[in-house]
Amino acid sequence: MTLIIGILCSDGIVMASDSASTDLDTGTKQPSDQKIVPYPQQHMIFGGSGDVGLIQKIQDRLGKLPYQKDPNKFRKELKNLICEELKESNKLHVPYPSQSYNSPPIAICILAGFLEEGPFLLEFERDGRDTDYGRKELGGFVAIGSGKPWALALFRPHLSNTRMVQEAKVISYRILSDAIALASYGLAEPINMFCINNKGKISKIENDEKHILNQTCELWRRLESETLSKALTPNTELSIPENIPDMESTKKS
Amino acid sequence: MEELSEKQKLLIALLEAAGNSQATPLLDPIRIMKALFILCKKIPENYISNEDRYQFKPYLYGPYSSEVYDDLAILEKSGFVTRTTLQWRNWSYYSLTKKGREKAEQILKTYQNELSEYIKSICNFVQRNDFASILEKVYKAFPEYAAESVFTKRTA
Repeated sequence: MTLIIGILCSDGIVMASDSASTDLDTGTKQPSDQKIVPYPQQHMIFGGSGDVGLIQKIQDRLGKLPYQKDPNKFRKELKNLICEELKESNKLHVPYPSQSYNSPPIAICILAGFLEEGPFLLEFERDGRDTDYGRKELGGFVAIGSGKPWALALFRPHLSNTRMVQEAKVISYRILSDAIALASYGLAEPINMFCINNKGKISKIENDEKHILNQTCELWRRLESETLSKALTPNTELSIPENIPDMESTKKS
Repeated sequence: MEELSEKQKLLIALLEAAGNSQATPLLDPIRIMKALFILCKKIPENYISNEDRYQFKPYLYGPYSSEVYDDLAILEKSGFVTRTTLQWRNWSYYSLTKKGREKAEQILKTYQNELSEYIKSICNFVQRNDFASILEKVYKAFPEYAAESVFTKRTA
């Protein structure tokens, strides 16, 4: 169980994930900080949801992929690589008559980065089909994993906005933290987050910044709640003090 | 009579003002923090000495004092203050218990009338203004405390 999101911005891309690695068979979960992996040489970030072993194999091969300037060729190379692993997984699967063992391991991947011609935000589905969510008409947003419905709902008001990385970090943090809070199982803290700027430089969001993002989200929730209450139920009976009162003015009144 | 610091007394007086207002008696920590900040900055020294005021530093929502949270915890443990959690809210709200209100009555008898009235007016200010307005007005009056704020860019 997983939630990984990618948000394309005018000055970079943000990718964020939860940290739960769930074993459905035993109903246990283990922390995982490997859902998002940076590839500095290739100027890209990888996010994978699905079978951990299959994702590891894809990750290992991505690390050996040479940097490719041409976006179409690069997309094809990525697709070939991922499809080869998916096919191999399918071919070697031994069906076992029990839920979660009767179908081959799957992987759904996000790859985000910058080539010379611009950004890409690709999703590779379990059957190998690929979609570039970096296209304007798709809103520059992608989500994968069991938390996807929450992410789509939470991001909906922001889908058509032009956005900067700083704003996308806050939105990402809120989507992840709210989805983790709402999920009955399968999603867990900590939130992992990476950014890639429009020159292809990757940075990890460290704990100090995550603390600030958390506080900013808390502020956002409060403002959202109060703004809506105020807009829908204006209190016309009670006067609202415009400025901070001084002691002198209080004495006079 | 349990001995309280002057800072804790001021905090109780603020919560008493909230309890007697027409608005909700519950105050959230940020409103408590901002009200105490304004009081500590604006009350003349002949009413409260400087060493009996909370010390604030700029932080993510503007002026912040960890002493305020410490005192809320102490007063809650001593039975003067109660903490209420509302469904779906990530933060708590504070109000006085019966014991706290009795203590507030004793405290207010020792305060000059002007001071009690000013505490009420500041309580009224934080209760009636929405969260964004409080932050904007505090930052405008005390810009040095907005230096670390996550809200600064929007209000600048």
